[in-house]
Amino acid sequence: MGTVTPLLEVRDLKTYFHTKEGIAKAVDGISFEVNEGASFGFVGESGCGKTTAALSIIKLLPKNGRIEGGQVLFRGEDLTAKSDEEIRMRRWKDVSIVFQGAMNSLNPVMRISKQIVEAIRLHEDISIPEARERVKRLFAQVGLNPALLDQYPHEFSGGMKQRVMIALALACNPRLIIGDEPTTALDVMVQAQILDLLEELRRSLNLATILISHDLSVIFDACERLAVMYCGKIVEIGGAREIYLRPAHPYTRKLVNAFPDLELEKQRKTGKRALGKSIAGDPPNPLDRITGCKFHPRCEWAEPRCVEEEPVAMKVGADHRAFCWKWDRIG
Amino acid sequence: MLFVSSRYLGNKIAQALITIFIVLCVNFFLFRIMPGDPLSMLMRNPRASQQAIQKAKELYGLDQSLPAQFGRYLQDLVKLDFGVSFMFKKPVVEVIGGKIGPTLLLLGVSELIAIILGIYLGIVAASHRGRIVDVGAISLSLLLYSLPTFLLGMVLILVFSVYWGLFPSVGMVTAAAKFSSWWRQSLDLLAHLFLPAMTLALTLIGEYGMLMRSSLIEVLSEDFIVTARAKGLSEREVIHKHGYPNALLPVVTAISINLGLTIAGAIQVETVFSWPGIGRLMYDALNNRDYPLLQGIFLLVCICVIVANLLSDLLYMVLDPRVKS
Repeated sequence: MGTVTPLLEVRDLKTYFHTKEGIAKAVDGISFEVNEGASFGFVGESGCGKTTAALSIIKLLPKNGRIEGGQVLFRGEDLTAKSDEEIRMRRWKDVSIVFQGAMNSLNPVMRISKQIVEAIRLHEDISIPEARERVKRLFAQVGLNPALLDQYPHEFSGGMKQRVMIALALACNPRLIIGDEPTTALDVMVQAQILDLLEELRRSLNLATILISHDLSVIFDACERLAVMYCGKIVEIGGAREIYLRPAHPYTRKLVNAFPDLELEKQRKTGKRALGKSIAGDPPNPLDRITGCKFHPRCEWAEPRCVEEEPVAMKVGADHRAFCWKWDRIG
Repeated sequence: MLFVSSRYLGNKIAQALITIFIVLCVNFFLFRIMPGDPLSMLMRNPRASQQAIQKAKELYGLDQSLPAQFGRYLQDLVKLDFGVSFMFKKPVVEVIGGKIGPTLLLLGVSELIAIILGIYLGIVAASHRGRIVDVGAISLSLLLYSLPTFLLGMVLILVFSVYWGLFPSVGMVTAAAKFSSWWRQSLDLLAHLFLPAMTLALTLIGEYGMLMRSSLIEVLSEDFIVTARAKGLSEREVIHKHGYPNALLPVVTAISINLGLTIAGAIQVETVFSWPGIGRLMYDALNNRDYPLLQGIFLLVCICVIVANLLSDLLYMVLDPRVKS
C-alpha cells in the first residue's frame, strides 16, 4: 500500500452485456486494487458480476459483452485501451486463469501435455522438448506425477484435473492468477488441498491472486483483502479480517449470518439445527433499473435516501469501506 | 491401446455378424410377401401352357414350400451362391459385380466432395454465428437438404444439359467412346459423372453442413473453449485446434452411416441419370420381381451399412480417447 504502484488497479470499470431484452449492467462502476503478491477475493451470489469483473481484466468476455467505461491499469498500463490482438498476446503471459477445472475446462480429446505446451509456445519462442521439460517441472510443482503428463483429462480425478489447471495457469510465469470458483466442484478435502496449493504457490512465486467464489468461508480463509459484490456493484471492500469481524453493509451482514453456525454449544442451547438464515427476497434481475442503493428492496433498514441516492464509499476502518448510507446506524 | 481395444473390437465384429444373419432371414421373406408374381414376369407370355409354367416353376424352385425354399436359400448362401437372376439369367454375383464399379465411382466422388465442402460450410457458418454468412449458409443447407434428389437432378439436367448443353445427361460413357484415346475416354467419363455427382453431393453438403454447424456451435459453448481463448489463442486457432476436433465426433458417425445407406440411396440419382449402377439395378429388379437379384442387392446394402458402422466405431476410437473402455 501507500506509495507502491499496485500490480493491478481497476478504476470505475463498467462492463455491460447487450441482450435482446436490453442492456444488462453486469459490472457497473467498480474500483479495486491488487498489489504484487497479494491475494484478493470477490464474493457474492451467482449473477452478481464477480466473474465478469475479473474476466474483464483481460477482456475475456462473451461476444455481447463490452467494457463501456473505466480503466484497468496493469503495472500502470491501461489494458482497456489495447486492441483485441494486443490483449490476446498479454493473456496467460501477464494474467492467467484457473477455471472450474474439475468440470470441463480441459479439451477432452487433447493430451494434457499438449494443452500446456500449446500455451507456452504461443507466448515464448522455445522448442517442444524444452516446453515439455517445463511441463514436467510444473507437474512436480503442483504435486502431480510428471510421468502422467501425456494422459488425457478423463483419466484424471477432479482434484487432479484442478492441479492440471493450476499447472497450466503457471505455464507462462504470470504475475496474476485469477481463480474462478477454482474449488467449487470439488469435495471439501480436495478443496482445502487446492486452496493450500494456491496459497503456497502465491507465497513462493510472489504471485498475486484474485479468487472468485460464492463461498464466504473460502474467501475469508484464502484472501487478505476482499470485495463483496451485489448486482454489479462492490458494496463492501477491505481487509478480510476487518470485514469478517465487523461486516458493515447490510448485505454482508446477512451473507455472514446466512452461513451455518457449527458451534455445538449454541446448537444445544437453542435446540435448532445449525442452518443459516436466508436473505429475504430474490437477487434482482440485472436488467432491472434500481435507483439509489441496489440492495434497498431487500434491506430492512432502507430509508428514503437509499432509494433516491446511490451510496458512496464510507470509511469503516483503515482498510475497510462500505457503500451504505446507514452502516453506522444499524444495530 | 490396441491391446485394450481388441476385446471391444471382437465384440463389435460379433455384433456385426449377428446383425447380418438377421438381415439374411428378413431379406428372404420380405420379397416373398411382396405382391406380384415372378412367374408372369419370367414367362413374358400370357398364353404359356400350363406345362411350360410348371417347368419354369421347377427350374427356379418356386414349386416348393416357403420353408423348403428358405432352407435352400441358406444352404446356397453358405456356398456363397446367391442364385441366378430371373431377369438376366446370370448368377446374381456376376450381375451385381458388373454394376458396383459405376456406383462406387459416383458415390466416392460425391461423398468426398460433400464431406470436405459440407464440413467447411458448417465451420464457416458456426464461426460467424448469427451473422449474414451464417444465415446464408443455413438457408442454403436447408434448401439443399430438403430438395428431393430426383427433383434437383432434373433441374440440373434442364439447366446444364438442355439450356446450356454443357454436360451429357444420360449414362456413363458416350457410345463408341472406347475407340478414342484413354484421356478422351476419361474426359468423357468425367463429363458424364459431373451432373449425377453434383446432384448427390449438393444434397449431402446440406446435410453435413447443418450437422457440423450445430455440433461446432455446441462445442464452442464448452468451458475448454474459454480456456483456449484465455490462453491467448486467436479465434481461428480456437476453432481449428479445439473446436473442430471435438465437433467432428458426432459428424463422423453420421457420415459413416450415410455412407452405407447411400449405396441404395443413389437409386433416384442413378435412375434420373440412367447411371448404370446398383441403384438403377435395384429399380429394375424391383419392377421385374427378380427375387434373387433383389436379395443380393439388399444383402449388399445391409453389409455396407453394417461395415460402415463398424468403421465409424473404429474411427471413433482413434478420434476420441474416451471410447477406449
